[in-house]
Amino acid sequence: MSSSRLRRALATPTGMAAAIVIAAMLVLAVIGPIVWGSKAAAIDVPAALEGPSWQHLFGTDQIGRDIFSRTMAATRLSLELAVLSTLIAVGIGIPVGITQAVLGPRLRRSVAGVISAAVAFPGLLLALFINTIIGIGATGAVLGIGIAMIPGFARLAQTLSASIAGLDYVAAARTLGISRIRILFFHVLPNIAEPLTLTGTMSVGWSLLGISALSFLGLGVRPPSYDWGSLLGSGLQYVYENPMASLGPGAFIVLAGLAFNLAGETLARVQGGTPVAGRPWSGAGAVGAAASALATAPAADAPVAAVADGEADAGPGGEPDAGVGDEPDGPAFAGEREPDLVLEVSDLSVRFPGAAGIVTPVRGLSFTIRAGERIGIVGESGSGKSMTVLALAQLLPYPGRASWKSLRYLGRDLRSVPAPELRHLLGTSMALVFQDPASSLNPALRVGRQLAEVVQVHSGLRRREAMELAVTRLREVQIARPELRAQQYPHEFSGGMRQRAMIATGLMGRPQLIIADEPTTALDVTVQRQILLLLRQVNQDSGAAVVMISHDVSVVTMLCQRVLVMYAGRIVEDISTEQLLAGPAHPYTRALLASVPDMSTDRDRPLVTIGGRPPALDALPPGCAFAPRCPLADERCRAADPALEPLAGDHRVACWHPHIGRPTSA
Amino acid sequence: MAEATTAVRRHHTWLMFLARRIGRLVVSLAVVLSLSFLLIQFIPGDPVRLALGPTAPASMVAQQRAALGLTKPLVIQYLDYWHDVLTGHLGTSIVSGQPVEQIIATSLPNTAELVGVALVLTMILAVSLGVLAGALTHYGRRPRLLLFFTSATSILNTIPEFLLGVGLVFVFAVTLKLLPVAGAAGWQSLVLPALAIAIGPIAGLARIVRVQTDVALGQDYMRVARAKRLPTRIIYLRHALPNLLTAALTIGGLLLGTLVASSVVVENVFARPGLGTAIVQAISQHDYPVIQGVLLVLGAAVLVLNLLVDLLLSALDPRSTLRES
Repeated sequence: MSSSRLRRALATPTGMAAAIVIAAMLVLAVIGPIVWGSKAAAIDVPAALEGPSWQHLFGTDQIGRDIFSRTMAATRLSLELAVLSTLIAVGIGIPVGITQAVLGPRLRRSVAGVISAAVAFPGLLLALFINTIIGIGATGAVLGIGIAMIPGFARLAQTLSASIAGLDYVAAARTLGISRIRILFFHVLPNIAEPLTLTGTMSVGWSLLGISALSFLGLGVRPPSYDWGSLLGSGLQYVYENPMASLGPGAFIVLAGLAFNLAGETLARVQGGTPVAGRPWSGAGAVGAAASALATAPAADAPVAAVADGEADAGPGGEPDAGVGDEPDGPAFAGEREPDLVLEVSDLSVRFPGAAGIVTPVRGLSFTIRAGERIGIVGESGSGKSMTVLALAQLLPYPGRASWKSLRYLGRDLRSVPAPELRHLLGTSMALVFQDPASSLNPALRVGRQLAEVVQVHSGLRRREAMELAVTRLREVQIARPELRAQQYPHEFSGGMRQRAMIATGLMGRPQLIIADEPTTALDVTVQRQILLLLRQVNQDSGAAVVMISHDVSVVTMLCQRVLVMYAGRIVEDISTEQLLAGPAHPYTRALLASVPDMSTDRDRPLVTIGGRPPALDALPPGCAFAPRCPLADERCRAADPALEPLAGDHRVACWHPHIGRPTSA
Repeated sequence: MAEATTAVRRHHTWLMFLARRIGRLVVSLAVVLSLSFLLIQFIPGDPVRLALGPTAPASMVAQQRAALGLTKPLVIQYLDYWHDVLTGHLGTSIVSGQPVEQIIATSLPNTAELVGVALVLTMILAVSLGVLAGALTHYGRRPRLLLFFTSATSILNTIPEFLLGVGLVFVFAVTLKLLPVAGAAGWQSLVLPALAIAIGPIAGLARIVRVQTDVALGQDYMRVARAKRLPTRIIYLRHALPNLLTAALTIGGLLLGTLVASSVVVENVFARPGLGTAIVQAISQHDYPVIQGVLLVLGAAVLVLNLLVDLLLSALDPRSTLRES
């Protein structure tokens, strides 16, 4: 395992480069003094302080010795000292650190306290202290740097072994009465050996730099011995005469230090594994878990597979192309502009270019929102609900792009509104409430300030007026003692209160449209109800339309008058709440409804689920996206995607086989 | 009524935090002071003989021993040391005969100036570069810029301050002849040493700030700020920056110790008269009272600065005090 990791590390360009440099350094350390030793010691006073030449690549020093040869010959001592001081740090630091895993709690706490105090103290001061005691020279430098690195190793070993000691198998070993020492050697040590080796590798680089610094200051290696640091130090005195005398040895210090560091870093990265890229467009992260009720894996009695290859009855070829952009010509979207329309969109699509091609989470939606209306958008996670509203709000995350045939908001074509005006328009009239109130409020700012800034920016109110308005709005969303609350930070609020504050933020302007994306999902059930009641209250008081997104049909039916059901980036049904409860037309909506347990649900039978999974957005079937999971699907469904057509009145459905007036069969 | 209780409780938490921190500082200072005292006791052989050299007459050595108080019992010496330090006396240099506190008084301002300028440079440059890089590369934008940023910062972060100093001397003083190479006269002599100390921390901190920026920009509250259609300036400065600053200041506080230590080395590169040049000279001359004094001052400075950073953090981020308790 370890050797394969080494191989993988070598496969990266940095890993390869680091390995080559380290190998070259090791070869130099062996042959350096043998090949260049005599030349490095040869004194040639007449040739003193010469600049670089072919004969003397780095020039000569004050008594005419060749600095290049001295640099080569110094490799061995420089590396030796670095390795020695690392060994001191490892040899003392690791035992001190890991024994804590088996110490009693009180002793452990005091040792840990000493270690963390020592870690916070600059190592160089400690090294100078040791160096003064031992005396100037290589021994003092090695001990000084080595001892200065002990706290770091102790801390690392302590953290690592504490994480191992907390694991179940160590606890099991302890209950079995295995001695602490045995636990240490057989359970703790083998599991932390790898990260410690890694840090050890990197530390050779650090101690090389540290010892070089001491030698450079004249506190480390002294004549007649010399290492890179002392060569650099003596070279710097003649920096005007011959810069190479200091730059040459300096380059070797940098090269060696970098190589050891890069080696350690590359090994660590390979150990950690490459990060897996998530869906960049995925909305609120927690939705997946919350939506599990809908997306559960097929239960034993799931009917899908059995029906999927049912007999064909309709001629698939004869259907007109149920293209994406057909709806705008439909009656609901024709020229007559109802004056009370808040929003009117046709053929809205959202695209995300990715490594594997373009993904389209929203595909050709058309719908309207009337003033004061409460609309719900339901669907499983990944159906494109959040992307739809983010596109409408002009807030799509990078690299998503929205396109539409027409998008009118408050009677204005959004594309024709100049940017500053658009900011003002959306900032004052459109409010967004997101799923997780805990992360929606900025933790670093007082709650009142976060409300007030909306009107300060958009309505030019002064700070005090804005704060007064914020207090008023907080009171309106039934937050007790709003004056005090406005001065508090979000962490002093409860979850329900934070969501109220978010709604109050939306009320700061003159909202015409409130978009609430899963506003109750992160809250517990009683608080959920209060928030829904508050949204209804706000809707009635301010006349703002409310769009609420949820994966939970029952939540939506509690608040909304009309429901848009989404599946795989399309609206499959646009239906009033009464009709929805009476019996929807689309098989998917029926399945969603059937999977909601209520008081009459027979608890002896397993909960109803929808078999199968939603299709991957980059591998949509040619026909209806729900066909693979639909009990009614036939050849026609698999061949052509049905358009969203009016069924009766405002009720629209995209299905070749809509249920009409027939009872629900779950 | 309830408001008052909450306020009192918050005040109380903060006072407890302060008391605990000051208690910890006092203990650490006592340890540093004791170590500084013990330094001269740990020296193998006769420290005074080492300092005065093998040719010094025995009478002079004995006289100096008595002057340093080394003839008294250890416990008395220790108590004397406490008394002296607390009354502002740090001993007398064996080499020059100057009082150590006087040596420190002349060199401390130079070091403080260097560290201060380097710290300001670090915070300003690291935060602005990190935020800029984070904003430009957020959501996987401009991958090549990100690669350049990470490799450049990781290399600069590895090069030690004294080598950066040598490099800067070569480029700006020797080749371009723009800035002075040594001394402590005027702001020009401050530029290169401050850069030499600050470049590594800037690179390291900028990397962290970039990651923090990336994280902060992905937070829900940033989406809310955009949903409020606030101007970009406010989105970044008011909403993102305070959330980055806690992390940046925490690391910056840890870096203060590093900056102090680096100044010791870099002062020697640029022959800048400060605590660093004083201590290195004292070590090579075996001038133990000076070493003790400078180590004590540097150690205490690091501890006090760490405390100040902690207090600043708790004032900026009210949650950090609560986390502590």
